[in-house]
Amino acid sequence: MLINISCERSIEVELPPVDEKIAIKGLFSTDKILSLKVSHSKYIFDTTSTFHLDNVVVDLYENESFIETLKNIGSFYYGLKFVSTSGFKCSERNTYTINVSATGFETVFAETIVPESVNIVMVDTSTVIAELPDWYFGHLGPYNHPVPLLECRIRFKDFSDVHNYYTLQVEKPYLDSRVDSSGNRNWFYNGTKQLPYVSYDQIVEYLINNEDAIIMFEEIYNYEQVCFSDKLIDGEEYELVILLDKNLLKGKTYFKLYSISKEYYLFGKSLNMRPKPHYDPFAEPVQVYSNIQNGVGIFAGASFSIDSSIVFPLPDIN
Amino acid sequence: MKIKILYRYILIVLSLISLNYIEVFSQNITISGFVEDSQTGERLINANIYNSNTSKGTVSNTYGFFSLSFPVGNINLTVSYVGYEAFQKEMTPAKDTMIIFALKPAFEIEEVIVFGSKAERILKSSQMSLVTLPAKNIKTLPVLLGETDALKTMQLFPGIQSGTEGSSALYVRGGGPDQNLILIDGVPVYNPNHLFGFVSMFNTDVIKDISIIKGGFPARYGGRLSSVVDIRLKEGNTREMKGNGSVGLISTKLMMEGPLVKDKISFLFSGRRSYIDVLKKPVEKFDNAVPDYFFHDLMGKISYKLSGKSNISLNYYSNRDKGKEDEEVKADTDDDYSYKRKETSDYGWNTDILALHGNYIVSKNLFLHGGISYQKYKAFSNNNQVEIKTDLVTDSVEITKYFEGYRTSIKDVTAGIDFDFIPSSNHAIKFGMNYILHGYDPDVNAFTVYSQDSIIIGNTGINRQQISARETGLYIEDDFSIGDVIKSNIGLRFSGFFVDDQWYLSLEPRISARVLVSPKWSMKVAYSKMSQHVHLLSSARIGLTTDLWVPTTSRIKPQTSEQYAIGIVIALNEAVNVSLEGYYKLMNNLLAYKEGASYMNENNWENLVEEGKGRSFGVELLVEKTKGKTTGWLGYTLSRSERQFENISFGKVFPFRYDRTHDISLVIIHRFSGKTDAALTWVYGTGNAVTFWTEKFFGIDYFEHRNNIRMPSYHRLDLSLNRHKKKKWGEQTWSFGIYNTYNRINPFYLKYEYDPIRPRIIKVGLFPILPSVTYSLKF
Repeated sequence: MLINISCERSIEVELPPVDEKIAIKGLFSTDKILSLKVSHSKYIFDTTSTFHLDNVVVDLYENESFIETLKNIGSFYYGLKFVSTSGFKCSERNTYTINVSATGFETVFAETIVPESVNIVMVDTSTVIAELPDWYFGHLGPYNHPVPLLECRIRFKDFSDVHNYYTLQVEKPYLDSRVDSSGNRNWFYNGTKQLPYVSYDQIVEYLINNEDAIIMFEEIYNYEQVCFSDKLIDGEEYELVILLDKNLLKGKTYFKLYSISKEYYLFGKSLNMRPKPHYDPFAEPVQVYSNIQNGVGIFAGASFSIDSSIVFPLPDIN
Repeated sequence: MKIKILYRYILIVLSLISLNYIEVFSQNITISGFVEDSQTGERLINANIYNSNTSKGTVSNTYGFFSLSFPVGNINLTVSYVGYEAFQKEMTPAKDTMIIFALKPAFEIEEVIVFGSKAERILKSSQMSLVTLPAKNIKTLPVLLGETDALKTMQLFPGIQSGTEGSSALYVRGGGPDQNLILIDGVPVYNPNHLFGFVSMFNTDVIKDISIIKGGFPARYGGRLSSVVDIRLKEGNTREMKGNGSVGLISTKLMMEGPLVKDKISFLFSGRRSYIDVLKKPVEKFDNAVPDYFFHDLMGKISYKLSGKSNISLNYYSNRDKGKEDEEVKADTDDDYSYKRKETSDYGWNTDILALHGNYIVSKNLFLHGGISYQKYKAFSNNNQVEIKTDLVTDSVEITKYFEGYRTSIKDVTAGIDFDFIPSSNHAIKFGMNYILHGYDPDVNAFTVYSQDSIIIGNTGINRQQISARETGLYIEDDFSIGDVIKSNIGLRFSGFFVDDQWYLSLEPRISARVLVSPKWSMKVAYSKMSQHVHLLSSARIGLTTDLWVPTTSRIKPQTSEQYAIGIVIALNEAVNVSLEGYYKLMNNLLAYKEGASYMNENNWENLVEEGKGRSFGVELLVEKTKGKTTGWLGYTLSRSERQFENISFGKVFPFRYDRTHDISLVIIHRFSGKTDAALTWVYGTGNAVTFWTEKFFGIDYFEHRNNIRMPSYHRLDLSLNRHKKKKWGEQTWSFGIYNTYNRINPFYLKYEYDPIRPRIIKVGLFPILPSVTYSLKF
């Protein structure tokens, strides 16, 4: 009897299937040509690895005026990539809408407003010797000892009476290479590349501890970066503090403060939190944000301001 | 605007009270006193006292006291109570008289099992949304593992549901289990459960009366939003020694009562203990899946009738649950090391209550009750792990120890005084106040890692945050009649809560009214505003001992609700009555954990919660047969319960986890003879709403909103048969029961089983078909 009582009994259940919907991943900003990815959702029990989309049409609008139909430039694991063939870049304080249709799917649409950029007033720096956290990997691999770090204080003034959301990206010149017809590898600087950083900023720490407002966009950017709301700094001038590995700094260092839309922020925050219930049985379920009507995914924009006043010697590549 | 309305409300209440004095000053005689059981001396609650000459009557209060006034002259009094022979007397009292009516228990001829209120009382009372259960009849119904349970019986009535399989938690009209004011002799209880909620702490052998109010709350009750469960325990037999005992599948219990001084001082003692931990010992070697678990409860009461007008009682209640599990796991061995892990967990919860109560008849129409009590509730969970890593080459051993602990407790000291003032046959006024000192310790989390040299490697420490608070309540209510057609209860409650240097004050109007449309049917309406200063935080994923009782603070506001109800009651005939009620309830400042938050987080709990609102509405139908050899009822509820939090599901309205669209209960009890009776219960409920990832996009698991899918529906058939046999020393009863007769796997929870080829969702059930047998005796 006791064994009977103590045993669980289980039986498979059928849940009502969920219709597949068009999925969009469109995070865009004023500094890049507008592009997005189109896929479709799958029922959780569908283990097939193929994604089938036919006759996909992506129409882009700015302030309800048609701009263009984005062009399919290729596919990736989950679906198709689309980009503006006219080189269209969004601009701040404008409303952007997309209509996406595909054979066999309900048409979806989404709308977002690109927020006004917030200027970086200035960037102050000083050198500190400190240990980096365990998860930080520099160009030499994980550090186990104190290293020289550049402490950067990025000062900006938040707009009052408006909900603002920010993320910070740090970049350096990107050393590219190409092999010429003679078989020689030629090195040259081509554009910029994202740099990892660490933040021990007080506001950041407080918001992380309150499970509110701070998240790291692991799945959106190459490296983790801070993202926060103006909840505690509304209308104030603030200095965001980060630490950079000095060994990685070459040439100009670009600080890009992005003002992201609320949808962008909610999507990133929920994406960052969603693994928790999978490894902590006590964690509450996390719903990933979606602003796609009749579909799933994200369509959200950002503006930015930049400061590149910090310069380090650029190594000779010849 | 609100203040003006409240001011007018207070004026109306005071006017109605002052009108009483017109009648008081005319030539009236008052009969007052008590109604009690002639064999035991137990005071009877809600006994009817009716004067057919004036067509006026009253009911005895919670302490058996009544007061009935009428013009000088001849009276024809009938005193009646369910299960007792009615008493009738004609007399012509010349002055105010105190009487004790001692009723004889009825022989079990026509009716032995009666549930719900008698049709007439339901019909004529101004109280709606009320369910009453004569305690002795709770034992008839089939139950889980043979454990008769008052709270489980209440779940068989419309508007009251269980949450999960086997649980005795109550979800009343879309409210949570923390929103029920569960009172034992007037003392609120926080956690009334044993065995993870499968059994409640209430030993049915010591219960005298139990009722639940789901709406139209009189002003004397406050502090919870959704229901009042008022449990009154016996005082103890003042005439002779009596006892009950029973031996069941999982526990045994004994109750003894009797006079210490006949007709003056009585005692009542009961104890119950489970023996799962004892019975598992022989099979431990073969199957250690059953934890070392036990529960017990104790109740002791001494009642002293100081005089015909006053009595005091000293009460003690205690319940304990404790479990322990040991596990030794040999983990994988690799080329260099072998790993072994030992884990010991223990968990449990306790409640202790000590209370002193006193009653006094101040005058012919003024009754006083006062009391003080102390309560301590504590829940804890400890987990110790030892990991042993052995170097296969050198034989050196590295030991690492982990400790994780959780403790939470509440201490309450309560003092209260209540008055019943019955100035005339048309008015019954209650007023009083209470004061509670609360001490909360809601959030203790410790995680310590020791190396083999007992050096602490990591320690999150104890996140101890003790909160003291003071709570007070003042109320006044008048239950009055306007002619024979209209009866109403109008009241006002003031509640105050002081915490973190801040007061939370609320005025709570309460109104209920009955219109007797014909002798056979009445219509009722009610409105209540309620507030609640304590919240139960439950994980959306896991319940049980992780539930945390937390108070209102300077950051966390009190919960509030407003409920509107309307209904009709029809007495089809003497045996059958029908009640149909609709309700609409709005709730504010409900608490839930934020998305991603974990109760095991070392953060302060206030940072882990969201405040939001809820709404529930529904229709309840109850058809009862209360007389004859076959009795029972059919209950049906059609309802909807929703929640909305700004940062859960991005502010979308989502179904409450225990939202149950359809809820059906069928109860049939048949008495074959004085020796044999049988019962059947069948229940059906729409499955609970749970959160499950149902889609994926870009490799991201996704669900559309919180509680997006429904578990399969729940239904179950239980049967019972009772065989009674009178003996020289008393009576013995063999009770046979079958729980879940057709062996349905009802969902306890759902889990996702990953498989690259064929993932699936599994419904995990807990209780298969479970026969039970219980032997009990009365002596």
